[in-house]
Amino acid sequence: MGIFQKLKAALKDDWCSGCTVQMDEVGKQLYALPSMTVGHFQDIEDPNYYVQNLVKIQKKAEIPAGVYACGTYLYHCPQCGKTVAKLVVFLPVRDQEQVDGAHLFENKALIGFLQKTQ
Amino acid sequence: MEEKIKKVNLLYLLGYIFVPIIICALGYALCYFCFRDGGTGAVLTTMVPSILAVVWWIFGGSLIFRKKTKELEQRFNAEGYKRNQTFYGRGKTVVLDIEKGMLGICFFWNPCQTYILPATRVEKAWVDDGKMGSGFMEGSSRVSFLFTIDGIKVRVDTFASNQRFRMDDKRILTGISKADMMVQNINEAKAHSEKNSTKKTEK
Ligand SMILES: [Zn+2]
Repeated sequence: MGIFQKLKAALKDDWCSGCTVQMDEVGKQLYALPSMTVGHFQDIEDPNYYVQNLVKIQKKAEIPAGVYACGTYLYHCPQCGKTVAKLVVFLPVRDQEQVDGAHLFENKALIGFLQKTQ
Repeated sequence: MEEKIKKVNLLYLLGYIFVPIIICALGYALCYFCFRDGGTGAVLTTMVPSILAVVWWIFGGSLIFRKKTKELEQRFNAEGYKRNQTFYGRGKTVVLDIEKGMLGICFFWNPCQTYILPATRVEKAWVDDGKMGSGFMEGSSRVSFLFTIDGIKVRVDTFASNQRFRMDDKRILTGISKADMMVQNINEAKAHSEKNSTKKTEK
């Protein structure tokens, strides 16, 4: 395995770090995060926080001004079969997005929650 | 007819600036007539009032305003309203009870009064993103939300700087988001307030 491939796995979120292959995107959904408002961003690493606070929405316009949003992506590794969730926390401001935090989780409860609410 | 809101109390503004100047002038006069040879008396009549005046100009106003803001918040709660939203702007504090449709406000230059009024008295509310220039010069140094009460315009800054930033700068985006949120909340409070008042007249 080349160093380039290892580097790619470390830098790219959709690459499995163990197998250093690209994972398949198996899910994508937008949520509102009403517990977080402008000026009160917190970089929370506890996956349970997201299970408790994410509110599923259809489109960005449903989010009130000043409320954070969370874009979620589910990736599945075709080799080892593990599933990873990527959460991007951002503040939607009119037609722009101010990204404040991103996390990768392998937490079962969170992945289960995301799969259920896709 | 309800009492109109007043953003500036002229007497307070003039007093804030001139009373320390008058006291200093009196001190200097006293020094001139009584302590012409210097000494403790001269220091007490010239140095001390001057230092106190500067301290007053720097800290006095914000101290009074902070006290007034606290008073507004306490009065708002005491009158049975819930603070769904509080915005501490530069020289203005705005509180909102969105469900009951009430708005509270106090001004830096008018510390004698705090206002709590139904949001129906807000005629309109809007955001000024302060966008200036074009091309690579495009940017803003001030973002604010504005509203009019009884025809009087109130501007509250959510971001202000002496530098201009690009419109996609984090500081500008945060400012716009705060301003958008406040306008949305004011309009919601206004809608609830209108609904409440028609309910009352129906009874
Ligand atoms: Zn794998």
